[in-house]
Amino acid sequence: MRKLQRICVFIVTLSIVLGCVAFANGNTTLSQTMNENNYYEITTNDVLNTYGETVIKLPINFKDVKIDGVSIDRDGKFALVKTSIDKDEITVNTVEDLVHDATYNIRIYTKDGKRYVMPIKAKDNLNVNPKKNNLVRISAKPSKGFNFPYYLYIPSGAFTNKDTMHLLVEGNNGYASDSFIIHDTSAKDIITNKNGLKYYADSLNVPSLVPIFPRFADHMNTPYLRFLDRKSLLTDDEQIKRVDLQLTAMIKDAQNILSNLGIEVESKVSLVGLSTSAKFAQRYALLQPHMVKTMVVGYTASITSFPFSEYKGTKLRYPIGTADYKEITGTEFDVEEYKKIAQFHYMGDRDTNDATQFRDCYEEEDAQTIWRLFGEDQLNGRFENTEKALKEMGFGDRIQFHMYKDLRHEKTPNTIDDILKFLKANNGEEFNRIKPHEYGRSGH
Amino acid sequence: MKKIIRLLAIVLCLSTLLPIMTFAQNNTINNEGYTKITVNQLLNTVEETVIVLPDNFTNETIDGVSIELNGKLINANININKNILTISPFEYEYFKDGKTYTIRLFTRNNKYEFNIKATNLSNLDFSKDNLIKIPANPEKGFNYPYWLFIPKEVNASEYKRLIVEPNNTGYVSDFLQLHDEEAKMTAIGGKQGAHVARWLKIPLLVPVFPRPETNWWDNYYHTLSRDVMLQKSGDGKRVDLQLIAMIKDAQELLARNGLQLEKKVFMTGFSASGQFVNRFTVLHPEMVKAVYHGGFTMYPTDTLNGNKLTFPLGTADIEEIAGKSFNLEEYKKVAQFVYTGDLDRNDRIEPSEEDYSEYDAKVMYNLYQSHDPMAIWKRKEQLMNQLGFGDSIQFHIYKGVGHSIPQAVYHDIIKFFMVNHGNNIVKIDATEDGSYWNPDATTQLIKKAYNKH
Repeated sequence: MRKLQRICVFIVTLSIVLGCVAFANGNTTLSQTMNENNYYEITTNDVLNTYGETVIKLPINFKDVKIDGVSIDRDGKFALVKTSIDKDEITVNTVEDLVHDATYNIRIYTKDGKRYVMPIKAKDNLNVNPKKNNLVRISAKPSKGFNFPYYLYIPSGAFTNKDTMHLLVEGNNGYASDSFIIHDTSAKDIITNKNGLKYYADSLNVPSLVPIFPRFADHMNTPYLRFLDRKSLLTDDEQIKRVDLQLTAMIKDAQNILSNLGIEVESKVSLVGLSTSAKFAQRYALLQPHMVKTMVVGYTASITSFPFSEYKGTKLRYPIGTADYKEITGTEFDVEEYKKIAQFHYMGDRDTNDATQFRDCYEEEDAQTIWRLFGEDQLNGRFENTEKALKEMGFGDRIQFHMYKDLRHEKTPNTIDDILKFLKANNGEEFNRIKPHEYGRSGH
Repeated sequence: MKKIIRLLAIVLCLSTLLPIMTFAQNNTINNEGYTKITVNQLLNTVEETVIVLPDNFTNETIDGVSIELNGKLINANININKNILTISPFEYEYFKDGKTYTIRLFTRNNKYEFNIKATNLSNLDFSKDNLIKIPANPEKGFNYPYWLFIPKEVNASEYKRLIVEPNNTGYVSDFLQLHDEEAKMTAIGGKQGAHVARWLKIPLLVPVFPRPETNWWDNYYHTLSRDVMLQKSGDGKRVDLQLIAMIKDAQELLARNGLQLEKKVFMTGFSASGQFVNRFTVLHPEMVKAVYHGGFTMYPTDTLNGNKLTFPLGTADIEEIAGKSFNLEEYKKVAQFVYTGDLDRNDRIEPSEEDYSEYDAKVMYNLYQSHDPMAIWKRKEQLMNQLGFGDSIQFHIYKGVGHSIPQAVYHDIIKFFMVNHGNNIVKIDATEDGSYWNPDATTQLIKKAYNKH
């Protein structure tokens, strides 16, 4: 049965991948005279996809002509793409994203000495099929406020879903690497994970979004964007600055795209996260509370980003609390919006992965504050103390805490089941606690 | 500790390995209209190659560049800045060692052509650390790439031997890139193999074997599972032989660079990769000098106390599995150090889809009569003694350690490989406290050894 399921999933994944291939069928024409640079010009209405594969029909059939060279350039630089020509079709595959709305030159050189140039625009591929599950990848749009690409998954069920829909959002996780393809792959892994985001999206018939924020190889000395750490808020580097705002821009962009497809989602999203992406969710909720409807987070190191500035006489600076919120973000903390978020926090009683021990995750000063105020051992007191503090400070009404028995730092059918339950139960205004499984692993 | 090593890895200088280029333009135009250029330079199969074109290209706009092999155009990452042409292959589409490529340049009014031969490095600079990725080479018998970390001053080392650490990603993914990235981290930093490589100044090989999510139950390459050994076709067929082919390829590559290594290798691994090492040792003891791992689960025998041991517990069906018989003589020559942590609960004797069958689980329970990991461990030692291998294998328990690599390993492993480089099998006085860490002691150890010579 399990094997059968896996095979089905594989087929689904394949169809998602294939769904990204678009056949362009606009008009292409060939000029009969050479231009001043000795090229025959081909004009076309077709576009190149900024990411993935594009197949374009050419007005010349190269079946009997040997091609000596093909290249694609923009402003004198070669694009990082793979190309191949078969008869009258050219296939282009991106290695690095093309720039949305930019014009590229496809040049073809043949053995008989002819040379052709075809100027062509690059566009994000938004062709989706309502009968299928669709994975769309949107390239970076600095003009719209996001400097990195993101993935948007639209299950076929979303096209007909009449319920209130909140876009599902999860931060990305994975290796520190200077090779962007690694980050791209990990993000794709998350959005197509059938034991995670894809399962929730398919079960709820709701679209999901995963940003592709990099984690640099020199991770000890660079901002940890996926952790929304202090460095990532304080950096002056325009490219990586304020990824919380960048994610908000992505969400708005996605909502706009979905709306154009006839899928209306609410302005607030459901945040899910595990471990690194749980930290991201907690901090994003603190920084952008007006964007968040529900937050489900697991393997949180038994701690959260508290929506208050001081506890037991100790000032809580970001990311523990809001003491220097205005200084760092330039805005006041919107406590009323934060209070509206429905939250589920869980841990496993055998989870030994404590992020407060890693200095690229928590600075020493912040780790010390956590240990002193909430406990040194995440499995012995800290979880309870975190819940207690939230209650004491008046935030207990819409937050549920749960410690699973016999659970490590892992996903299990029980945890996945509970997350879905919580998301379903809290789709409306009212806060509803769920009855979670007692054990993290089944078989008890 | 681990962090520091990783950080070091990041600041690693990777050699660019460029020969001094010489360029000649002889202004002959062939019958296809190309002006021929001669270049006495090699094209790196994996890394970037920088080619300085003749000066006249600074004034001519190069519109197009193409690379061709055997009449087929090849895609690559190409950059032109005035007369500087840089070429690197796209990931997993490396240039083929020994093949000659044709590169064409198209300017507004002319076209040029030159040939360039690709090579897997033959001019390594041993005065610095080198991290090299060798692409898959089915012709040579390996369908996956491997990483080779060559610590600086490798040529000055007393120990002329390769160490092999099989890759162990720790999770499944259909994306080979992720396994590749983890293998790379293993090669330059994180684990025992790179540690030994740095301290003993010996080269380290890490294969990039997959661990797919699709049909994961049949594809646990990182442990060298039974299903993996039984694959009859495809890239994943007989990865044990592929690893041997990689070892030979690496030895040849280093020999080309003047570093002659012993045929037999050191091996290390933990958990899944420990099991890989354990099984590989039984299958191919003639390839292995000494092993240090945390994954002892396989016995060098067909039957044990009335139980028939089939792969991966024993050698009863080794002919069917590996097409060869068990080489007892060679196995006895392998020095083995195997360890566990006293708090490690990972060694469960239960059937699992990716590794043990119901039959295996039954046999294990017959042998161990317990589910307690410490009792099982002691029993394993007894059984190996009973089989007569007590002299060549050392069992060790690190205290205070769960299912992770104890820090003390970083000390003991150096000691172990140092004394087991020669013909005798030597047991070591291993540390009990798993958290022991003393780099000064390790330094002393090495100094002492060098003073002896």
